[in-house]
This record gives sequence, structure tokens and C-alpha cells, in this order.
Amino acid sequence: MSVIPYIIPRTFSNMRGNWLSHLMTALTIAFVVLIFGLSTLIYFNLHRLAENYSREIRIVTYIDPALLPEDIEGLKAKVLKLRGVANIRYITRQEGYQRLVQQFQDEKDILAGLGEDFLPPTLEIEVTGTMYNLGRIRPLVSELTSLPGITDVYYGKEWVERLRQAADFTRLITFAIGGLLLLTTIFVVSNTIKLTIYLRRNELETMRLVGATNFFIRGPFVLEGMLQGLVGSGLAMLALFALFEFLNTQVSFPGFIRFFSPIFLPIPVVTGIIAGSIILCAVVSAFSMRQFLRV
Amino acid sequence: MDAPLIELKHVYKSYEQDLTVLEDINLRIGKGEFVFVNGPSGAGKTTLLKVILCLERSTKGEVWVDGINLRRLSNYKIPYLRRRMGMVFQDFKLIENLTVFENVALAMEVCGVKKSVIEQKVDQVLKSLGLEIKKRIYPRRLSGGEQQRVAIARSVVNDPLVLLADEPTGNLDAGRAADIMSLFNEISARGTTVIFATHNQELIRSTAKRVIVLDQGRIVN
Ligand SMILES: Nc1ncnc2c1ncn2[C@@H]1O[C@H](COP(=O)(O)OP(=O)(O)O)[C@@H](O)[C@H]1O
Ligand SMILES: [Mg+2]
Repeated sequence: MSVIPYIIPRTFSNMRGNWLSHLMTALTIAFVVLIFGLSTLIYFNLHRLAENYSREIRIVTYIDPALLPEDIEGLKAKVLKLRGVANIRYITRQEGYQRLVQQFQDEKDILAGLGEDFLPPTLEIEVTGTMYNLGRIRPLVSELTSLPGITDVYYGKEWVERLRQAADFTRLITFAIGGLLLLTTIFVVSNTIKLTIYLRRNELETMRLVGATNFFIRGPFVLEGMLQGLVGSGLAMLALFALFEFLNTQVSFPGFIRFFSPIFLPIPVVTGIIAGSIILCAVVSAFSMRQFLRV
Repeated sequence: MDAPLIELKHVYKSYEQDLTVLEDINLRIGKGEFVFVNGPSGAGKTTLLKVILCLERSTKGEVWVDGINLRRLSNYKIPYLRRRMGMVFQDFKLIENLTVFENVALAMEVCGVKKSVIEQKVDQVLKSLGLEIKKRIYPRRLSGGEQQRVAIARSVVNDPLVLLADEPTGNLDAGRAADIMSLFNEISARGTTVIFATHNQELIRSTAKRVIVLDQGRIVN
């Protein structure tokens, strides 16, 4: 479109006209996106942490020692069919005992007096390593419990539940902040645009009179919104990265996540947040202009 | 006679329900004609021009411009129609924070004309109106007559089919008014259709041109 060369300089001259309110708008967007980014970052790392752990989750089921070999085969097949089960391993009484012997090599006394068959045969179950399956653990456990032939089910109950709750909670917070981001951006951007429109009303009116299309009139305002979205969210991502680096190098994390090294949001997520902000601001700008675009 | 450039058939316009501003206006204006629209203040002259420029839609009746029925014209096509008409507004409607040059150039920019072409054409028009030394100046530093000429420059820069002028001599003393008048005669002589609205009786007393007299929204001559 050949009017584009005229729209871009007009955008900048519009913005120069009330640069202070544009600066405030960009900073407000930056602030809200920063909070949103921070909660996304926390959720993201919690999610990774949970994934790391759930890869290590083993459910151990004790099996009725009276079960016949063919019943055991049937049981294994049933367990494998359950949702969330990645792999199973049947461990006979003897194997179980051997393992113990290996584990307590230096303290053989502990096992003294216990026969090779003091442990029941067990089925070790690996679950698939996703968040979804953290939520699936409890139902899976109750399904296992109800299978005939399984006498007991053990798993690291508490921390699995707690991790799951923490992840759910941060996701909720992230959504809430996302909503806040949406409302704040809509409010702030549309107010700035309306102020610009008010300051420029005579000019916009004249442009209509001499045959400017809505595209020509609206273009600079949409570009202006996009620029605010870009600058605001770009600043926010820079600040978030700085904050992340600071925490990562200066703060030592407590026990259970000592071996977990947090990572920053991956590039696609950062790009997505910036692109989302740009699009949101552009749409809000376009909408704020609508009432002005009568003919 | 050829098909008229502008034709109004039984046009009515009211802003509010019970107040009719234009009433049963029938009018044919041919290509190249120079027409005065005369009448007292409040007669409906400005409204008539606005209806032709599609700034206001008629309440009833048909308005045709260059073979286009404005009632059938969709909103998004209106800007393209306006570009083929020039209008000089009673209050000039110059943009404060643009220079004389930029004000005139705006009318070409909205059409997407190339910058080099705009520069050449705007310079030429400003020169013909004696405004070239004022081209970098902002409107508030110009006299009323100069502002008027800038408004005229903007209205003719796209070589419009028709020039609509609303009281272009309104705020000027007699000498300045005569200058503006002869300017419009020149524009008309180049073949542009001119519709010139004025409440000034003096201006039309001695003219040989066609005069449409409006009173309370009706054509009375
Ligand atoms: N936007 C408007 N809303 C309501 N009434 C209007 C509007 N514009 C003009 N009028 C009324 O229409 C009548 C004609 O106005 P106008 O066309 O400006 O007359 P003129 O240009 O001949 O002085 C006046 O009574 C005026 O008050
Ligand atoms: Mg008037």
C-alpha cells in the first residue's frame, strides 16, 4: 500500500505530541508483563521440577504370594493396560532378597535371621513422566488397589501431592495475572490512544474531509499501540532476565531443589509473550478508534 | 446537454426529526459550470455542500456525483469520492502543527501519491497562489487571507472534478475578497466545476454566472 510511507512518520509525530503519556503506558505494560513473566517463569520451573520427579516415581505393589504363575501373567497384562503406566517389572521374592543383600552389603547383620522369602513378590510400576500423570497417580493407585492379587500399594504420596498442588496453584496465579494483564493493558492503552485522538481531533477530522481512508487514519494509532506493546514487553523480559540471573547466582536454593538448576523461559515462550503483547495492544488501539471512524 | 456532473433529485435533509434544513432540492450542475449558492445565514448552504461531499447523507432523495448515486455508495468508498472533489471550508480546517506545505501535501498523501510527485505539485500550486515564500510557516502565523489561500491550495492540489467553496470570502475585506474571487475565476477557466456558497449579496449582484438562491432550505429562484 502506497500510503504506508506516510503512516509511519505520522505515528512518530503523534507519539512526540504526548510522549510522557506514552512513556507511562509503556512502563505500565512493562510492569504488568514483568509480573506475568515472573509467574510464568515460576510455573515453568515448577513444572520442570515436577517432571523430573515424576520420572523417578515408582509405585510398588505387593503381590499375594499364593498367586499362580499364570495369574501373575494375567495381572501384569491388566496393570500394563492402565492409563499412566509406562513400564512394569516383576520382582520375585528371591530377586527382592538379593537386592536387599546388595543394598546392605556392609550391614549384613540386619538381614540375619530373615529367610529368602520374607519379602512378598512385587510389581514395580514406572509412570509416564508428565504433569498430567502427577494428577493421575491417585486414581491409578486406587485402580491398582482394587485389582485382585495386589495386597498393598506404596508410593511417595505426600510430596507427589504437594508438588502437584504447587504446580496447580502457580498455574492458577499465572492465569489470574494474565487476566489482570489483559484488563490493565486494555485500560491503559485505550486511554492513551483516546488522549492522542483528543489532542489530534482537528487533524483527524481534516484528514477525513480530504479523503483519507480509515486505514490511513487508523494506521498510525495501531502502529503506536504495537510499539507500546513491543517496548513494554521487551523491557519486561529484559528485567525478568536480569532478576533471574541475580537470583540464580546470588541466592542458594533450599535442600530439595539443590540439584535442580532453574532455567529461564525458553525463546519461544519469550517471543510468544512479546508477540502477544504487541497483538493485544494493536487490537486495543484499533478498537479504541472505532467510535471515531464514522464517515 | 451532457449528463450533469452533479444532480440532486428531491433532496431533503434534517438533522433532527422535526427540523428540515433542506427541502425538496432539485439541481443539475454541468461539467465546468460556475454556480453561486446564495442565501441568508442558516439557509442551508453549508449543508447542501456537505451533502454533495457526502459529509452528510440526505434524509430523502437522490444525490448523484459524476454518475455515482451517493445513496448506494458504501462507506468505505466515500474517501475515494472525496479525493475527486475539493472543498474549501468556512473555517479553513488547516492543521495547526503542520506547515503550509505539509497542510497542502496531506491531501495528496492520503491518496498515496509518491513523495517526489507531491513535492513538485504542491510547490507548483503554492507558487500559483503566491504562497511559496510561506511554505515552511505554520498557519497561525498567517493572515486570514493567506490561510484562505492555503485552504484553496489544498482543495485544488488533486485537480478535482469539482471545487466546493463555503464562504471563501467570508472573513475578508473587499480587496482581498476580489483577489479570491478572481482566483476562483481562474480555476473555473481551467475547466473545474465550481460551487461557491456565499451569503454576500454584493458579490453576486453584478455577476453573469448562475445563482441558486436558498432560503430556509428551499430553492427560491
Ligand atoms: N450538525 C447540525 N446539527 C443540527 N442542526 C444543524 C447542523 N448543521 C446545521 N444545522 C442547522 O441547519 C440549518 C442550516 O445550516 P447551514 O447549512 O450551516 O446554513 P448556512 O450555511 O446557509 O448558514 C441551520 O438552522 C443550522 O442550525
Ligand atoms: Mg454556512
